[in-house]
Amino acid sequence: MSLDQVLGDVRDELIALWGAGLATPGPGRADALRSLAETLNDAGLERVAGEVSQLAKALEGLVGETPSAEALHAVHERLQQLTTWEVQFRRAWALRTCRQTFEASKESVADSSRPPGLDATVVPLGVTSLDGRIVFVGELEGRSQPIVLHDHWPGFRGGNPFRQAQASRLFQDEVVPATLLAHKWRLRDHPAVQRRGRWIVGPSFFTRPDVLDEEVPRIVMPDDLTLRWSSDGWTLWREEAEHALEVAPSAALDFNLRKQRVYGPDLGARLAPNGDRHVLIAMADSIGLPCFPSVDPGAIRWTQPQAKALATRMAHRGVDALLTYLGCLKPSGRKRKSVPSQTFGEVVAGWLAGRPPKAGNEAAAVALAALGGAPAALVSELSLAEIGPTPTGIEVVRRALEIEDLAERKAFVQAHVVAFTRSIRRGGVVPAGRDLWALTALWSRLGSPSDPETSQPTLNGVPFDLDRLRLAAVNPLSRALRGEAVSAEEVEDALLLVVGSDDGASFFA
Amino acid sequence: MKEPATRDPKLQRVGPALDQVARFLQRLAEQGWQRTTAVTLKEIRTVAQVAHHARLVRLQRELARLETQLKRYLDRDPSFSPAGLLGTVNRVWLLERAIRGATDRATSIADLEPIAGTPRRTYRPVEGMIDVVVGAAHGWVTDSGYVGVTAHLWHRDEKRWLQATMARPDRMVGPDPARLLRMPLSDATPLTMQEFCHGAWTLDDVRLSSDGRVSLHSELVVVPTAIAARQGLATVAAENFLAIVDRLEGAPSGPLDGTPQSLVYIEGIQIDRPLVDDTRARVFAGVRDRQGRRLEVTVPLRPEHDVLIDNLELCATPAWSPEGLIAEASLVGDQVVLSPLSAVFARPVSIGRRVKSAHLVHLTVEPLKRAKR
Repeated sequence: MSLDQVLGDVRDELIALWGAGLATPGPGRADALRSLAETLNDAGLERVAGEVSQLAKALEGLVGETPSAEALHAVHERLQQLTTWEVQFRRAWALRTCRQTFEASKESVADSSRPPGLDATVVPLGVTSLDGRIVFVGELEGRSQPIVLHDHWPGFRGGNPFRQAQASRLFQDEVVPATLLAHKWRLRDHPAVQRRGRWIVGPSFFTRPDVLDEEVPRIVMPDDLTLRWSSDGWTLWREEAEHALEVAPSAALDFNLRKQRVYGPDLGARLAPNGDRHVLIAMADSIGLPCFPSVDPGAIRWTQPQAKALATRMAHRGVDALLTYLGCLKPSGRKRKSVPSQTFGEVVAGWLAGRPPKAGNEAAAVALAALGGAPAALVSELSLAEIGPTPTGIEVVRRALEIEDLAERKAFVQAHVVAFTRSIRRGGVVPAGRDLWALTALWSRLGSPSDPETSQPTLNGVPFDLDRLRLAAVNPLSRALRGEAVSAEEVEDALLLVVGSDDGASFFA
Repeated sequence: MKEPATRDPKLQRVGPALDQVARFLQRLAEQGWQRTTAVTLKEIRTVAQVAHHARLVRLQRELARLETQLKRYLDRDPSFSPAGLLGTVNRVWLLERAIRGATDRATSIADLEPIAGTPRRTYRPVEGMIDVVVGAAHGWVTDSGYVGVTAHLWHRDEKRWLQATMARPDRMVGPDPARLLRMPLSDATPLTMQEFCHGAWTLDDVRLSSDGRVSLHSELVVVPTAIAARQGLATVAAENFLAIVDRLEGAPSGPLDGTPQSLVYIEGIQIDRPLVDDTRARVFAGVRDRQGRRLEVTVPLRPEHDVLIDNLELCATPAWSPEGLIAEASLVGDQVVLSPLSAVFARPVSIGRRVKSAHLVHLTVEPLKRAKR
């Protein structure tokens, strides 16, 4: 008899005893237990066999007359002990049996593993927001095939979502979208489908794109689009196209295009088809570098007059007017339902980043309720959310140096550079050495523009207050020579200033 | 002669309560469960109440379980299992003896807590924020009239599993735990339980119990973050069913530990079409691992399991065959069985207005027939 059968018999006996009760176990129960003890003995379970024999004997003592409470108690104890053994032994035996069964059974089954995914390097070209989802558009490197990557950012962290870390479902990590778009991505065995000549991928449970160190090469954007605005929305016209390309609406895009209008109707932009419409995935900013206005509310910056006008409007007409202007309120000023859990900054940032207009409308009541009529705080938050980071002079210099052909943007960049050098002369912070040389390099590319405001001596042709530059160079060097803790970078910058100048002799005379 | 140490007056209730339990067990053994009547059930309730007043929580729960099992026997419920009853009676007896032994050494009722249990968990505030990702969730209904949804959370920094449970009396929300998914986590947040059950979160103002339960209190701050669920699931991943047996062999297996069980995540499985056994009021579905080994999924035919049964039927079709399964593996009777919690789909699935993209579908509460790909 197998051990399984023996254990089955033990369980049957226990169930019979527990079912019938010890007071009336039924005829033949003791004999059955005795027989079971023999079987257990044969199976090599001598100790339990002894227990079962004892139980049979004790049970026999109960039959025939009214049993004493002590006798019943003793039998109950034996029964419980046997039950404990059975439960424990059966548990261990069951696991052992399962193991043996599993080790023995190795059928071949149909392969249920996933189909192989896409292995490729993606060059991101742009991004847009559709129905609350983030859609990246790119190209497979070496194959020139378009790829669309769907992402979802479950929560915005306030401010400008494009320039702050976002929890990304696609990348399964916190990513800064602005940084993400500057680098290539590597897909490894990523589930993908091909439709209408495009690869389409979404977040995958098993894999995610790796962001590579390799930067995206700058691609010149087609500059043949004309922007038109009407009460129906924005349209883009391409010269050779017979009909307008309607731009799918996104609150951030709309917001940016309002700002863009002042730069003129012509713009360089990259569009991607979406059904029978187009979505704008990237645009050339004021100095020709790519920006992503569909998701980045600060992609196009206010001009100074615009910002001033906005501030004036806020000051004169109050919060309601501003919110109406931004589309958060109905023109009548009637408030809509609120979502009290979101801060105003989050709501506005979400709205600007292309969430459905409904969310934006909810912002108004939230803002008004939260701020309790404190326009100053609102203005402060709003200005952060809307205008985006203001470019510093040196940032313009760095970005302008990346542009190969400055012809079209020359006037704009030149104005920035001249203003920047003026600000240094007037007591602004002296940039680090390498930034100064970037400035002089750009100055030279711009053909050394003349600045009527100054007849100061120059450094590589750039009019500076040389005394301030000398101080900037000498200070860290002298501190380093005195043995003070000066960072290597600072010393390097100072040396660059000293030795890198064409007219260094006169500079440090 | 040395004065005996002052004893907690609450301890004085323990001895008589244990005597009452022992007497009841003795009577049950004498009369046998075949002679159980409604009076017996009433008696168990009384004894359980006494155990409750003596703060013998585990004993009280085992007695409540015994009452349920005997009631099923009286109702001729096909889900009654004599072996289950045997185990429960034996656990009550073992607990009674173990607590009696501990009482002799105890000076306060708190000394008994490790073995007798605690009536309510103590939630202690956690400093700072914790990052968690939901690895599985399941709905449940208790015989005592509660429904709930429990989310299994992977604590990224401490690398351990926590649980967060939303539970309500069924008289408030009905007998369907799926309804709880639509309820907000607390009065202070619009985030629903379903949204919470899909994603990774940074939790602030956390209160945690010693056994790893996160309190869903009104001050809990829940902010989305990005953690891959597979990070946590990798810690419970089993290559095949043999690995599950290994896991169960390593689980606590003392007489008072109950059936060994373990959370497991297994990839490359195939689910066979479920079969309904009306006689035993159960649905059986085989699950096969990559090597073709078969484990049984057994689901009692009860209203709260309708969603799970429908989902298993869909998971058996090629269109909805999941890439992975998260389940509770346990030893039931002589068999290792899987209780499916969540299915993993490599490509995201839309499972409702609030969760439009999810890799996990919680099989006990989220109907796949309403999901879209």
